[in-house]
Amino acid sequence: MLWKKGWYETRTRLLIVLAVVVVITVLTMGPPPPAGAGSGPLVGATTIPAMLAALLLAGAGVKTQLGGLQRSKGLHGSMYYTLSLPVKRTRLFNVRVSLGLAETAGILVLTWSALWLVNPAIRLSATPFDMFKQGVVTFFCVTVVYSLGVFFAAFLDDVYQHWATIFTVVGTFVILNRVPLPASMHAFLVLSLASPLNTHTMPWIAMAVLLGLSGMLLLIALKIVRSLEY
Amino acid sequence: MIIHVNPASGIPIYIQLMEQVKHGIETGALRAGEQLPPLRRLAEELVINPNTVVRAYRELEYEGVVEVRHGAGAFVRQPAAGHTLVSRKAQSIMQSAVERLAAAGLTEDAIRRLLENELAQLKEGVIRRRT
Amino acid sequence: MTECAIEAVALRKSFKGHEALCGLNLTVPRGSVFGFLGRNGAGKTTTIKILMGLAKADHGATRIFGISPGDDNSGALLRRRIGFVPEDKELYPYMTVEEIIRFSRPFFPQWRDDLERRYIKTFDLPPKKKIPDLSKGMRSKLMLLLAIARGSELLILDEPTDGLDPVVAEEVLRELIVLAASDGTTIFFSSHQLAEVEQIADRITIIDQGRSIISGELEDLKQQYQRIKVVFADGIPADIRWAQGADRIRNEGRMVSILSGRNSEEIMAQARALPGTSVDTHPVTLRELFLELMRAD
Repeated sequence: MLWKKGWYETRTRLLIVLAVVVVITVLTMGPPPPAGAGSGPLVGATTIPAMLAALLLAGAGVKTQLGGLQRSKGLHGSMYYTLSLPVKRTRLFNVRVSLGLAETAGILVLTWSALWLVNPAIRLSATPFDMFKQGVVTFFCVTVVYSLGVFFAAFLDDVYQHWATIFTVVGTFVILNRVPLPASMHAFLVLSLASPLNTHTMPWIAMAVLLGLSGMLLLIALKIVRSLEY
Repeated sequence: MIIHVNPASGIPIYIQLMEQVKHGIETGALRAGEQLPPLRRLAEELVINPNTVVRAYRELEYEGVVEVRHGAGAFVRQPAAGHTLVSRKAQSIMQSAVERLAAAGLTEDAIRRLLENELAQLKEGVIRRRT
Repeated sequence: MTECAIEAVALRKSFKGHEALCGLNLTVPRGSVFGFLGRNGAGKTTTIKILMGLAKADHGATRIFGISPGDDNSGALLRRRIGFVPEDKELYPYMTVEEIIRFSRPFFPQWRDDLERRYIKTFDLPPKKKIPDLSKGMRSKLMLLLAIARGSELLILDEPTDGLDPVVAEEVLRELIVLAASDGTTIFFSSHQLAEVEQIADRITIIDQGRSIISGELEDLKQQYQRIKVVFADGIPADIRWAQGADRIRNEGRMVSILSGRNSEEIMAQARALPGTSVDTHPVTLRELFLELMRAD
């Protein structure tokens, strides 16, 4: 029942984000890349909607992020009811975060499918297996952004959480562009130069880093949520 | 028998219940052998705590006014021989005393205070005799 | 089972520099209807939040049915046995009455279908109506249904009749009495409505500034406390020292008003022994007791 409730609370927002992402992606796609141009434009085409989706989903709606576990009471008195249910906060958190990640993955899949359908040239410039690897990698990156959103949602109010997430992501990009890191560590590179679409391999180390980062953010968020007082 | 209590009067509800039952017996609203209102029903009707009714019935049983038959309810006891006679006599004594005091010009409150004073002195007399 | 429904020992809680609870003790026996009284800001809601695991006490111990309310497995299981109605009676705004019942049922293996049906009928709740469209009274009744139908052994209610008109309030109180009489459910409720507390509670605690100042069986407390009024025909003597137990003494003109918590007889005897006095005693209502205790110490 918690999954159903979560779905009910997030589906409107999800549909809006999906619509926005698909529209922007299709509109900004541009002409099909010439044969042999490499997969640069393709990577760009797949990454941008992903990051957009992550930012929007993570940034929008503290309430729906944590499903009633947030700090600010003013948002919804119904959280007292949720918290009076015989369910640990950990479980409430897990269900919501999993649902959020599933929705994010869903947006990715749907956006890519849209791209695939709309732009036949894409089908020609990359193997399906590479596309799959790219998909996994992108999902890991998006997960980090989402985890960041959840992390901020645990102790910030709605609007601040939104901007904090965006600010951190953009800030990270800027910093990473200036600070030289070994390519394997530079996780976000996987979305461009080191993309499986280019290298045809899975950047395992980078993925581990991304996973670790997400996990850490989520664990801290959970800890905060468990210690919240109402 | 219709029972009415005032929870906000300051007098414990169980005492009010007891008084009403005793008054009911004296005026004939409750006859010997008749059953008192069932515990739960009375509590729900008056919207008062069931334990209050339990206490009232228990005190009444202790005083010998009712007997509680396990599983069946509380029933008014047969009065001791001459009991009704005594209470009617007592009622007439009280009636004439009140009439005379009223004729002497005392208000209802004044009469009540006099009575309470006398009762308190009676009680103190009993305490002093006991100690 | 002989353990208490609720037991709190020496609870201390401060937030934002304000000491909300300073060593509160609370004992709620199983099966009692327990009134938790106090002024606004005295610490009632803080106590209830600690009982429900929504906040943590800085010091002291809390136990419900012998178990500490917390966020671990035993704490979560404990909440199966407790029905909670908070001060802000809000539920999910996108659900209807029957939807929230259907949502809640799977969480409670002891859900009572019979009670659910009873309350839908008695409270006249419209199953297909959306929750925000319900009147305040309806919402309170729905929350009560959800708290009771889950098969709870203990109800924790924060101002259950707050904002309800007298007819609805009486309905709610009657159902609480029915529940107490039939199932032996322990009912712990905070309230400002002293008259209602007097009606249905068998035990009370009055809390002030984070501490419990009076506790016990209501009927005993009402018998214990007496207001003794002494009128001195020739004016109140200046050097009078009242016997032990004369708690609140007020002098006005030729009258002394004493609230006595014990030893009423001794004080009355003392008063009568003095020259030129007329002594009256009156029972004390809960409201009088409450107001008197709240007067500056």
